[in-house]
Amino acid sequence: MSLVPQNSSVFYINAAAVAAQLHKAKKIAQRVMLASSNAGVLAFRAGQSAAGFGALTSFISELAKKTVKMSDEINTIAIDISKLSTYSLSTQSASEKMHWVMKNAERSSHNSAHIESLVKPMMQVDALLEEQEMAIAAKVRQLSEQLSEMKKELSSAKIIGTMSLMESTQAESQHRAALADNAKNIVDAATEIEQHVDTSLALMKAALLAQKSNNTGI
Amino acid sequence: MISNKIFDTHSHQWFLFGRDNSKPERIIDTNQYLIKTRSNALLMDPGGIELFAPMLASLVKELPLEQITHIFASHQDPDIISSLGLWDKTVPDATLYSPKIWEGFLRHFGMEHIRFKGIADQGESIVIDGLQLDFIPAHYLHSSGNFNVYDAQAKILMSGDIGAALENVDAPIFVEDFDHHIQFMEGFHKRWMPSNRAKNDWIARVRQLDIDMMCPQHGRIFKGDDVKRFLDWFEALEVGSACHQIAI
Repeated sequence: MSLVPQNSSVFYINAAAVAAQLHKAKKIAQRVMLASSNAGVLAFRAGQSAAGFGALTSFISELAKKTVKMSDEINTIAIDISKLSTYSLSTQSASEKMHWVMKNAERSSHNSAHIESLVKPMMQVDALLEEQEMAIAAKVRQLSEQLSEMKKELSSAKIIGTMSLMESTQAESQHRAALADNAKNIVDAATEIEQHVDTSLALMKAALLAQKSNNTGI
Repeated sequence: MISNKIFDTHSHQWFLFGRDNSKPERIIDTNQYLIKTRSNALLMDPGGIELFAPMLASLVKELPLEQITHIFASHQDPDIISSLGLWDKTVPDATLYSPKIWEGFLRHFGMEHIRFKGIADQGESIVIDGLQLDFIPAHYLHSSGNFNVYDAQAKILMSGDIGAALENVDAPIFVEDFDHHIQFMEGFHKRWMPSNRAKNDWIARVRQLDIDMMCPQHGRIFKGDDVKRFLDWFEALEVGSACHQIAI
């Protein structure tokens, strides 16, 4: 029999790493917000020939704002997971030690006259551990869903960025290079954010796998 | 870990837990003490995280866990009380008595359930099942907020780090030859006790107490005349003097 029923404490490092990834993603999204605002000004200056480009910049600006908001939300969940996992680690440590004492008392020939008084706190600790594990699992699901949602939004941002790049070719020649440069920056930024989201998803997946192998004793 | 009943009357008992030869290497050996009264108990300086399991195993030999209603931490050091987060889950209804100034620090060890009762600088007394226990100020010896526990009925002073000796884990429980024992105490007291003024203040206070046994948190217990010998030796010792990097 496993001494400890479950173990979600493997999440606390990976969740903190996800929070760091999302912080970086947010900084890039903030840069995109500024870039899309600049792109709007550039399109206005370019006039009718960049009307299509101008229309797309407002979409990019909205997407960037949404990315910042989602980054904040995911960051909060990631920090919650990290905190919960740390509490869970302490509960797990108490559970392990109590089970150790109980097991040794059963084996030992020494008189542990009051060992039964350990049963109640041990059951309470195991119940608390299970409760904490469930809370972590719910947060992990929420985090993974939000990350997937963010990834979809980033795909849209990349498409709009690519369309902006194409639209920039329609602008008058003196504005073309600046608009193209701007559109390229937006595509690059969306790609960079996507990498942070992918890393976050991979970190969560690795933690889930580690948890699974801990629980099955593999 | 050994468990040793060092005082026994019909009203209450004192236990020493220590000399844990299963402890990880390079962890200082510590003495934990327990006063067991009719239906309550005070666990004093319960120790570090690494000692929690052997302590728990030793305690259930002596009393049911729910009887541990009071915990005392002389100060904030990890070897004194870093196990707090684990006791918090084991005896959640207990009250922790510790110097008032350490509350915000001790909570870093984790304390969601155990109630904190800060001891005021001038000291306080508590009564457990009719037994009065006095928290004797021992500030700056070595911690800036620090108390001893005095049991006037048993004539025992739990002196925390005062009187501590750094010895092997198999050292006897009681001081047998005071002069020989000095070598194990001297460096510790010169280095860890920073203030001669605080030291003399404590000695004056403790000389007024009737003490049969002085029980430090490390090393051996002083009995009978060795208590007075310790006070005389400590009085003459220049403390705060072992760090050669500092010009004193």
